[in-house]
Amino acid sequence: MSRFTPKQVRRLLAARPTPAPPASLADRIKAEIPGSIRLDGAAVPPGRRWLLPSVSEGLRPSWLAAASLLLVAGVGVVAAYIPAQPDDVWKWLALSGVVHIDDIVVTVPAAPSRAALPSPGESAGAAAKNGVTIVVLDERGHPCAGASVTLEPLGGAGTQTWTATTGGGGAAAFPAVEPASYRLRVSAPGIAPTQATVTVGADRAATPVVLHVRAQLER
Amino acid sequence: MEPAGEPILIAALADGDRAAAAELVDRTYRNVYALLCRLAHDPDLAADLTQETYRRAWAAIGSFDGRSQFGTWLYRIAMNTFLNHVRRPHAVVTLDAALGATLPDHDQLADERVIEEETQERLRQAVVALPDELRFTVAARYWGDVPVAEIAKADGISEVAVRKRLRRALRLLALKLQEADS
Repeated sequence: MSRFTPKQVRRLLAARPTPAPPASLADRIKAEIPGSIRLDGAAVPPGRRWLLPSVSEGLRPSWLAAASLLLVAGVGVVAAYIPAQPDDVWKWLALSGVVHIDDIVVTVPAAPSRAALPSPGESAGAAAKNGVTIVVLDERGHPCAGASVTLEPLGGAGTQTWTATTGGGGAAAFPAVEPASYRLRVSAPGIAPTQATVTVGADRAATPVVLHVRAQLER
Repeated sequence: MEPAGEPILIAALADGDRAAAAELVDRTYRNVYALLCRLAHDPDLAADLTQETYRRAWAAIGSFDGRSQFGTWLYRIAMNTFLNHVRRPHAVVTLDAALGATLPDHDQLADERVIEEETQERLRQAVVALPDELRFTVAARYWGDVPVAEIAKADGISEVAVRKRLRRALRLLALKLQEADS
């Protein structure tokens, strides 16, 4: 059986007495401290870098310089673009958060409704009238509900202004519209006012007409 | 006034403050001397090697990376200083002679005391004969009272690895002592 175990060895290692150093040893060592001591900055403990944010730890100066250049370049481009294009910029800012009208679809049915309601002050059957449906879509193709749609005749005598409001599907129905040219206006809270010219024909056999109108911002 | 912590002293050292260097010497030289005394078993030789250790430390201070404490870094230098000394041809003779000179006089000590001294000397020689990584770990832990975590930082290994080294070293030392005893 072994006389020495690891535990006994550990006890022997720890039990060895520690001699006191010679009195002059510290002075001898200090006398040899060089006049200039150079120490790598990496050895400086974090306590000396408390004033710097921790995010800067590990970042290389070249990365910071590159990021600063990109930031300055980006700010410079924006600063140069705004004075050069003031109208576009302010228009863009004004339309931020506003729903844009992308398409207005005007449909003239192939079989005009003879049973359309007569307009006020006009005898029934005095003129052939067409049913017109206008669908208002926003820029994402979603229907715009609650928009006010107005058909205003362009210089035609005997015609009148028609107004309707779009429903949940974005459609506004005009059951009886006299053949004529109209200025179509669409307005609603939250959308930019839009107008277009629409002509409703008298040809009862005409195929349905779909008119796409890009929204314009009225200034 | 509360004494400055080692990090502050190291920072002052980086700025070329010689007073900080002197303060670091005051804080560490006793432990370095004690370690070298246990390694060399010769107080005069240990004092010379301690001085040589600091001489080397100032020359290599630029390589101190702050990963471990300054004292632990000094232990490594002290260990290398001692090994360089005993590996010199003249040093081997000197060391043996010094050991003989410092061995206790058997006629003046009780048998138990003599056995203890001889055992300690065999243990010292066994520690010196350990592989490099085990030698530093054992000397720093048991003769320098360096915590395991600090040794792990100095060697760039985990604390578990340090404890494994210690267990392995203790087994080897026990085996060496047993062989010498038999």
